[in-house]
Amino acid sequence: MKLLLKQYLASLNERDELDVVLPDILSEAGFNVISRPMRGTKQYGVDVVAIGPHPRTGVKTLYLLSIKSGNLTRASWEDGKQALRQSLEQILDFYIPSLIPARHKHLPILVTMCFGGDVQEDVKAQVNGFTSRNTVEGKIEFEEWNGDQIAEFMLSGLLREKLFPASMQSSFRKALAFVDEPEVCTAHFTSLLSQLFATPPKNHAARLRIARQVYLATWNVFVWGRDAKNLDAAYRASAIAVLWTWDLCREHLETGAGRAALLEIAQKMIWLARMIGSAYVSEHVVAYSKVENGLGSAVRPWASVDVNLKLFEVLGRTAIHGLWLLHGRELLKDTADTKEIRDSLDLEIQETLQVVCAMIVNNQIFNSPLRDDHAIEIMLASFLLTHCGGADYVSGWLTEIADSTIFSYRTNGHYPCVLHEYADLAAHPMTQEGYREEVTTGSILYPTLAVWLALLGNEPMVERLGAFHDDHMSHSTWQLWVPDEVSEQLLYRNSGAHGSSIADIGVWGNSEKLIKELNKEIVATQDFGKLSAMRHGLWPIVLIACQTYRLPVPIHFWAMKLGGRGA
Amino acid sequence: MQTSSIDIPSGRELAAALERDDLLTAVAKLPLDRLKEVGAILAGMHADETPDVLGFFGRLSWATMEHRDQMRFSYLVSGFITETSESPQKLVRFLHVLRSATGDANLYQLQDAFEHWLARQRSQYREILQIIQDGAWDSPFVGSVLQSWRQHAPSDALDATLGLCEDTRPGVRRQAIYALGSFVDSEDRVRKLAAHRLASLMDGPDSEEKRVAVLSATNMVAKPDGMLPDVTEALEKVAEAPSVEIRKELILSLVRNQDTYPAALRSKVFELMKSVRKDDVEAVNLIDMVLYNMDLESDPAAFADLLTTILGQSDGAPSLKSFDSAVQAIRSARHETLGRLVIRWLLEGEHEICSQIGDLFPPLDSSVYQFSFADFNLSVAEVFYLSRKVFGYMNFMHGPAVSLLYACLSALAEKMRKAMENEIVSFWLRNYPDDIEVFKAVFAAYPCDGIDKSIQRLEKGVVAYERALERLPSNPALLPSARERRIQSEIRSQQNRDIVKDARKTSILESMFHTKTILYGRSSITHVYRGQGSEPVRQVVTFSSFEHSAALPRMSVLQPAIFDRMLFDFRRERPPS
Repeated sequence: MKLLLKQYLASLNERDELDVVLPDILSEAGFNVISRPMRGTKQYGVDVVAIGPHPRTGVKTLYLLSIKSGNLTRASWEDGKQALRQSLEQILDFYIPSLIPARHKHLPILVTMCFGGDVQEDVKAQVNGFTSRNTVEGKIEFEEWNGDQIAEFMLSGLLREKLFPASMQSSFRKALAFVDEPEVCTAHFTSLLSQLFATPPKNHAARLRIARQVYLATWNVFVWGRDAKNLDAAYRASAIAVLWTWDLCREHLETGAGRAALLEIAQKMIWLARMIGSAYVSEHVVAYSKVENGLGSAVRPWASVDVNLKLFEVLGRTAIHGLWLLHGRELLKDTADTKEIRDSLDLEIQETLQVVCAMIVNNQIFNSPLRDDHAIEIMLASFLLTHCGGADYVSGWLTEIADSTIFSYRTNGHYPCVLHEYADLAAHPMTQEGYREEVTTGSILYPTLAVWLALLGNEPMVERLGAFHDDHMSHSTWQLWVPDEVSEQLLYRNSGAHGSSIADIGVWGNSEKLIKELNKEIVATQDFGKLSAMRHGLWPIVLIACQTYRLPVPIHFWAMKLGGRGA
Repeated sequence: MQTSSIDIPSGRELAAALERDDLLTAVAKLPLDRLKEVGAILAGMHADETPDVLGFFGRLSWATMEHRDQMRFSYLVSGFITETSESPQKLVRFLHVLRSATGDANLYQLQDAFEHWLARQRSQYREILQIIQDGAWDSPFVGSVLQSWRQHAPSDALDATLGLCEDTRPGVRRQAIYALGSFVDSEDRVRKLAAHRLASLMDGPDSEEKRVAVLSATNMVAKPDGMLPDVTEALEKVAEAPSVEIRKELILSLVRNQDTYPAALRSKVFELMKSVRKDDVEAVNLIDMVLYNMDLESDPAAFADLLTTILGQSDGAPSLKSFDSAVQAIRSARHETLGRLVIRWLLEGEHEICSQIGDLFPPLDSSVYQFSFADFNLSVAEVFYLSRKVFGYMNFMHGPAVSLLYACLSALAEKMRKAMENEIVSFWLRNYPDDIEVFKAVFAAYPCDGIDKSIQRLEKGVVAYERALERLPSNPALLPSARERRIQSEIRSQQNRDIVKDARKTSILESMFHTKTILYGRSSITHVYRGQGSEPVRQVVTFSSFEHSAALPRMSVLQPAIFDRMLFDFRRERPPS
């Protein structure tokens, strides 16, 4: 277990990774963290300030942590402004004399050199020489915290109260061991979460501890996945972690003493998921999307089903990444002091849009979804594109999809079906009597297309879909979905059936009537607005739930206006 | 033929064997063809009245003896009949007894021997026929008597034949009607009478008599002097709306008399062939023979018309595969001839026919062909149309397809060529990038001015696409999972098992040879026994393997629905007006 944690720590980058994780580890180990890393402020060599017991005397001590990633080498010890020696000198010259708050000035100081890895032999003598020269016994002392030491903290902190029983450690270990087999990793990760959530937390501290454990476990999967150059498992784990964490915190975010801490861990979990999503897109999507059939070829497919399933999954994830960006952009007010961030976000949004468009243009398989619930990914991508001025593009793409799927259905080709199991999809389509009707017995895909095309004013295609329904799909229940009064309880962990299907819209071929019907339902179903994620303005969480648990996207998203940029 | 050096048993030895009832053992070492010589010796012994060979043959249990023994006895009997001087009465009776015991198994041997015997009975045909008529048999030997009689006394033979055409026994009647056609070589009066009778039979109500009359008449008209108006008119009339059986006879006669068949009747039978249905397997096989025997090089249009019309029938058309001999002839023809047929079919664009073009070529054919549009005078639009038909119908035929696309490029002016190059790169070479090598091979074999530049541009297009993909690093996050790979393996294994099963079912080898499955090693050791007492010869047979493989079109994996749609559109496109 310790080796796993050490490996994880050694892989963390200094900026935004080790310095983010370490305060949480210290908190769990009983330290009082009084200062965390801040961006844009001068730190004079100190990344984290905490108060805790002296490792040898047990006396209350002020810890000044200077954090470096990986191993401590000759270069990271003395070369450049970011060198550890430079940081230590700044601590001794500036921080200790001037920046220690008055109320802590009486405490002995332990300058702690933190790094995820180990001190290399060729630099040990220099480090020892420096610390010996500058040590003032009982007042200013030095300590090395390498990966081993920090892992020890994690074990003594997180595991000391047996919150990770043997069975849970096993799931955690297996999740990490299988990061290059994402399905298996996700199964073990979910098992880990299930065990963590098995007993409802009795108090705020217990709830917070679970949230932190989920967070750290996700971090571990991410780092191990990054080492394996495969972020698929990390993406899956982070999506589940966000949803479960939200479920853990959602009822305690508005009132109560621990509200701020819970909100903070929930936000950190979201931030981690966004970071993993961004890394996933950057590592596994961007370069491939620019080349004709680049993504499809990267699947190294044995069969077309592999390409279809994988690419729609990638489309959904990229769209979610773009929607988070859009969400962030929406929160920023148009003021002078946010201009730089807004411009940066706008640029990132544009880049993501280009990736999504390039994916679709360069991989025509996006015109022919194989699963009916690929409607979810189509909805996510369309939602992103239309809110960023790509309505015409979406209309063209959805027309292609409608055209292609109708053709495939009529010619018994690779038409969308309600099958979910890979083995069934691999054998699809079959030719036996009644099969086609059986696997198209219901649909959210065609209604999703019809609504979008109606909203985008593509009347001829809406009529064509209506005619297709009447002539060939009368056996199929075309439907849409809305959350109901129990959705708030069940949505985030998918712990039971919830929501309502809208299956009696009989006007698929008439845009005006279809939109009218839809509006009626949007007004009539109030439970969507009562979802905690919606109330807190975190609507991407609902979309992540839809994508992860294969639920149709609620119809209310069609009515959503983002920052006045509605479709 | 080489005569066996094994000595024939002497008369004494044969007599002893007959005495012991062990004739077959005495002749066991003799090959089949020499048993007739033994039969002739037996005939001589029988003439001396000791022993009674005919009685010996008559007492044999013909119906229950082993097939091999029955055959060897038949050869002995044939030799005996050919040379015997036994009375017609006894011989005819013996023949019929023997026939009823053995059925049709050795009938040809008996008829042949009987005809040899008849050749020595010139003065007795009427009596022999009478003996047969007096019996209760629906005798299969009537035809032999009439045939022999005709050669020596045609007029008398015709009288008897005409009479037997009214016989109540169907077999006798059939032989008599069939014999009428043979009178074509006789004097004018006789053959006209025979022809007249045949014509009236062809016009008669009895379908079986009509069928035999047609068969007989077609034999007649195929002879140099056989163009008798009665018969030819009757045949042409019958050929207008024949029954299935008669159509078969007409086609069969055309097969047999390909060179001498009357032109008018020939064209009528050709028309008949065009409506053959797949369930009429015999007729399909006969037409296959007609097609095979046609001179594909000198009259390719007639061949193509007949085959195209048959395949293009809207209902019940036989498949091209069922004309395997014709297909063989096409494959052996000059490239130009083969190309003419393929181009014609593609230009006409009939889906039922075009979808069978693959059967004109060996499976996964990668040979290059020299195709030419010289006979077609194609417009630019038609050349482009043709190239799209190649896209639509000639997947998996890399050699022929590329050869045809090469011909398309060659048929265009430089300016238009680039547009076609784009189409070839974006469809054909996207699916089969390795086919650029086939383009080069066609050019090397059949160079054409300016096409080398086209091929360079095609290659540039392929390389640009491939390099962009090759530059992308491996993307483990997108690879199928172990579970998915396992499921695909299972699906492939099942598909391979099905393919092997199907291949075995349709393999001719399976019906010819006993199959042994060798699990280990690269050769097999067998011992061949040459004969009794000799040492077996040890043989080591080294295994060979043969396999064909072809790339799947890439689009069928990367974007199957779009690929299907493109094929559909290519196939559905109608010829430019």
